Amino acid sequence: MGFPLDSKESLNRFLANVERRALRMAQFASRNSDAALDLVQEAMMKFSERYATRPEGEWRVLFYRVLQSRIIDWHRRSTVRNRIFGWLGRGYEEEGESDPIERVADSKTPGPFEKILQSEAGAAMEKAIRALPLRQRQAFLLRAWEGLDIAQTAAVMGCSEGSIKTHYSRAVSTLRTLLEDFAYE
Amino acid sequence: MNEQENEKQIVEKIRNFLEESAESLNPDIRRRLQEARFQALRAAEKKRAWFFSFPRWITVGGLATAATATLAIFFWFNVPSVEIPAKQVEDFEILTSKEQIDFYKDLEFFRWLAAKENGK
Repeated sequence: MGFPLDSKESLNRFLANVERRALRMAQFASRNSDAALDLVQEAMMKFSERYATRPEGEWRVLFYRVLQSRIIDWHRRSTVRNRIFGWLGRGYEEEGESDPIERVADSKTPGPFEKILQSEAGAAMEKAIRALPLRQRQAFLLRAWEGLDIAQTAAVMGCSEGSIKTHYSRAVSTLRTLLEDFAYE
Repeated sequence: MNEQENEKQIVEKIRNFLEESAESLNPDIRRRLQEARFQALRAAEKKRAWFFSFPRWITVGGLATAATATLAIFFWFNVPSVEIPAKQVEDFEILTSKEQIDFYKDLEFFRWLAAKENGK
């Protein structure tokens, strides 16, 4: 007995709908397109294997929960790696630690994505979002962009609703300060 | 403009920027995302196929066998065994023998007869 066609189509539609936003979230966290793609791929695999049979209404929260846990694991691993290289007396710079905006600037034929990031406002917003601490950024992206409510965001991030409110409000406050010049454009 | 409206506006601007950037990803990145998605779909299919890999008749047959075995074990241990006490074997013989029943019915007569003969 194979995977029912309608379930497969629903799953395909769902993943197609979230994959780009998921990639951008992973890019903000990893600062590396390849690592971000790996994170999204791992999340898609794990989600499909474990939760594809769960009701569709639960998919979004479950998918982002898997993705966020992958991102946190990635952060832990890179923190340990950086510490070890620090002890060894040489700085370790992950390929992705270089600012992608700078790399984008070297591109000979910038595509639409690069153009957005190269614009003054785009570069400022990209930089401001990257400047947020991990948990604040997660809370902000899930609430403001993905449209999850406080309870869903708390379920994704595995913390209390009160923590989500705090993370979100701090994130917005920081972004408002960093992007003051673009607020009234 | 109050603080709340200002906050709303900046969040809206960032959301538009994020949406625009996600929609304008390079074709190479989109292709890799699509490949990752197809791989995930195959993984889900494989997982499900493994779960349902046994033919239905094996599943049904297995359940029926298990149910029968459970019932057999239940009855084996729960049906009370009927023991015939040794002393009742004689009664059993008496009950099954027609002649002897007749004998016991006429027991009083034989006693009277014996007493009479002894009296002679």
